Amino acid sequence: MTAILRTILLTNARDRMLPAVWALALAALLASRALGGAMLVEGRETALAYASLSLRLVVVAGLVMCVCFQMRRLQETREIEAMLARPLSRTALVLALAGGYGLLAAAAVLPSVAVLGLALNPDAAGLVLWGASLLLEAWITVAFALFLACSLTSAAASALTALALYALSRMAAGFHDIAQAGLGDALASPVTGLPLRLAAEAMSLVLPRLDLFGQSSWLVYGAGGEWGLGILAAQAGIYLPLLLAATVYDLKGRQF
Amino acid sequence: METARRSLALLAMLTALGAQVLLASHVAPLRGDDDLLPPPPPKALLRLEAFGDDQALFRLLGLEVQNFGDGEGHFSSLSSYDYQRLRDWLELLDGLDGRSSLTLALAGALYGQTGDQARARMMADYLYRRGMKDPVRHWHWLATAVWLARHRGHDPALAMRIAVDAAALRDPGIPEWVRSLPSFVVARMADQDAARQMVEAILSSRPDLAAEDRKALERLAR
Repeated sequence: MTAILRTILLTNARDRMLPAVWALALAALLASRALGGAMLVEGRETALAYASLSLRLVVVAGLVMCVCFQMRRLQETREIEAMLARPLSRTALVLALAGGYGLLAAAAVLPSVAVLGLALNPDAAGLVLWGASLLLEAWITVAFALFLACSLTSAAASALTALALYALSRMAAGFHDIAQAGLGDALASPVTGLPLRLAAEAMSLVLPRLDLFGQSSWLVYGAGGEWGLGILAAQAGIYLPLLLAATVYDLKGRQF
Repeated sequence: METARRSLALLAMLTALGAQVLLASHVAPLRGDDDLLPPPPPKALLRLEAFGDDQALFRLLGLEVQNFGDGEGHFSSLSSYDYQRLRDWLELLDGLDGRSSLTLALAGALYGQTGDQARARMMADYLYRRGMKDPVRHWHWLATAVWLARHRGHDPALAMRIAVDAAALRDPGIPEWVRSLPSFVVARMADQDAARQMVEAILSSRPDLAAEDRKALERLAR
């Protein structure tokens, strides 16, 4: 297990994924600050919201690319087979991979959160909540990417699918609202309405509620609101084992 | 042979670059969307657009509303805006964040500065309705609404209605002089003198206002 963790960390050191994410995060912070300065009022609040949005996108995109392309390379260079040649179960392999990428996610998120805190001075409790929720969101995204990277044979396809699932998960509440309200001609139609509404409702139930994570309002107005870290931890606590179990299930059916 | 092929590739590259420059200069004036103020999106679509982060969408759209009609080297006169649509945008932004004072500043210190009376009245009315939702935080925008309605909208009835409602507010966070707003409506004063007096009164009563908010209010007195 330790060897696998070391492999992942060394591969990432070679790929310079973390420095790239940190550099992009810094650029996003500077751009957010500049855009905030263009506002008539509430420039700091605007900069905080832009920084929150852009850091989240940088972290998620960076991690998805990293997991999908590295996993593909590990399979192509038969390093996965070498790992499985050791006395190591496939379940332990998935857990080690998830642990390694989870550590990478923490290494990408935590410095970015600290720099945001120093640069834009948000509410301290709000920053802690936002940072913790970003880390949980990053872990769920990593688990999505790991599952897809193990299931699909193309790195590009798995990365794009992971990003699409991430986007859909951030729209989960919207799907629920649309299903309930029956908006639009197709949803209001007696023929197509019911199946489309059921599909939208099913998506809102099956996808993780990533829209609850990383709220910019926590940075702007402080922690508080209808939900807190408890709901987010529960969501991560359910979805991480689900995705890891799916990855183990898929890997166990594979011939290497 | 290899050098000739390389030269040919360079020639092709330079030809393509030349063609790109020609095409770019030809399409330079084209714009994808030349609508000065597009209609606001439906609320259901907005929920999807926000990707779960209403605050970030609020700030993105706030910048857009602030800069509607300006940019790419040209500026639009406030008289060319559809103010009903603008008000729809402001109300849509309020639906995303009801605590921010951004929309009030946009209505009072930016779009309220129109020379058109009907448009100024519309912004004064917006400030009034929005300001009354949280008058302790936004009483200074209610005072601004009185000035806008009286001196820009030339609508003493609207100005008096806002002034009377603001004067009736009782809270330690609202300064005493707000109770005398109705007399401000009936006083005969030049527009800029009235603006200066009001802004000075607000700034002395709200030392906690952020520098940007102070600057936005000072725009009124210029």
